[in-house]
Amino acid sequence: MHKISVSGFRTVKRIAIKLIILMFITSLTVSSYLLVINGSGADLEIKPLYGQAPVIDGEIDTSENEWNKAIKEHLNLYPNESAPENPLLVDLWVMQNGSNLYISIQFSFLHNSFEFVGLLISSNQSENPEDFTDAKIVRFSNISTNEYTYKDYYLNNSIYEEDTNSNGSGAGKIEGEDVIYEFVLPVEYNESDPEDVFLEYGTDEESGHIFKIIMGDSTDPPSYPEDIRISNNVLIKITYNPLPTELTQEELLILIFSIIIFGTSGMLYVFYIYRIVKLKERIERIRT
Amino acid sequence: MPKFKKEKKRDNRSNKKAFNEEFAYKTVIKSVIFAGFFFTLSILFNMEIITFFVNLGELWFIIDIIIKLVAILLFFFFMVISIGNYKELTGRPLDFKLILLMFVLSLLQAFRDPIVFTFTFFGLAIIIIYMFFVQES
Repeated sequence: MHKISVSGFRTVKRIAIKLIILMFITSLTVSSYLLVINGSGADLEIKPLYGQAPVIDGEIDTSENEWNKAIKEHLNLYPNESAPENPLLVDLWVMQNGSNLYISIQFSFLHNSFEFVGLLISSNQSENPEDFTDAKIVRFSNISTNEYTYKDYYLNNSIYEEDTNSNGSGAGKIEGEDVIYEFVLPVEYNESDPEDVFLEYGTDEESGHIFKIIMGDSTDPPSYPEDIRISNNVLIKITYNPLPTELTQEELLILIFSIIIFGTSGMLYVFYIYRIVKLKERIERIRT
Repeated sequence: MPKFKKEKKRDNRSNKKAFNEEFAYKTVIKSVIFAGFFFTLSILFNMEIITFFVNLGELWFIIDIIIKLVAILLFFFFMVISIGNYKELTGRPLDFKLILLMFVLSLLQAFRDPIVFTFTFFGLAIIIIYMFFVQES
């Protein structure tokens, strides 16, 4: 009887070990999938979350929790997108507040006098050059005094024409090698305006707009698109979501996975303490 | 007379053994308390419950990574010490499966941050190699 129970216990133990090993192999596989964060081209898709509107001044005020709800990604900008070499890695932050879309681009670089960063907006998910019909550009006119201008352009067969009515706004600030560009674009605003891409909320896979992030150093006056040096695309899907703190599917997955990992570790830790207490009792029993 | 001497020797030996057991048990307890502390720290930072270092600049970003990394590495370090001593008290060796389990459990704590994950992987490997050589010597 005693022998049977011992062998039974061993079998259960063996199965438990196998299960634990299997669980962690699965966990490792899932975590390696989650580790991919650098985006390239329109492979990068962002669904901005709701947050408090930041002040568009080229500064991030952490005391006011500015941009704390933004989706934060890294994006490589390339001189030639079809041959991705010599990239400049930029931080791309995107958020919304129900009426506007906010985009911040940050990087470290040796800055040029008439440096600019802009957003070319496609009317849909197309990356064809003719579908980028709207451009918002922040261009420095004097980097030592942080003087800049924000311009809203309409792209007519790749010719940049300034909008009659400028929409949105932008700002930039250089500090040493670091620079912060900030943009705000109205969402679902004035559908009849032919000079701006009508940014709209969407829920299906087809919705969303391709944004081409461009960076360059211009002549004075600027000449677009000749002055664009590097660029890359990102797909931004603006979804209508009245709950500001609702978790995205990815966030929910990460949260569940975190709870599983830390929960398992915690339970094993508590079980180990229980074994230590039992060991103390056993030692005392042997001594007496 | 000789019989009495032998018993005294035996008493000394059993006292020494009891003392060693007591010492080993205390080490198990102390190590597991330290491990618990660093595990709590790891939960707070690696589960991103505490995120006030985000957006404060590059220096704070590095400090955040260091805290996350150190919490995991020291959790692993103290847990291995504690389990090692525990195993010694039970008279069994610390087997590879347990070290592997601790390695995986510690590494997975860093899954949210690829930088922390990479450094943790190498840090844990270094600790295991270090412990292996300490054991050998």
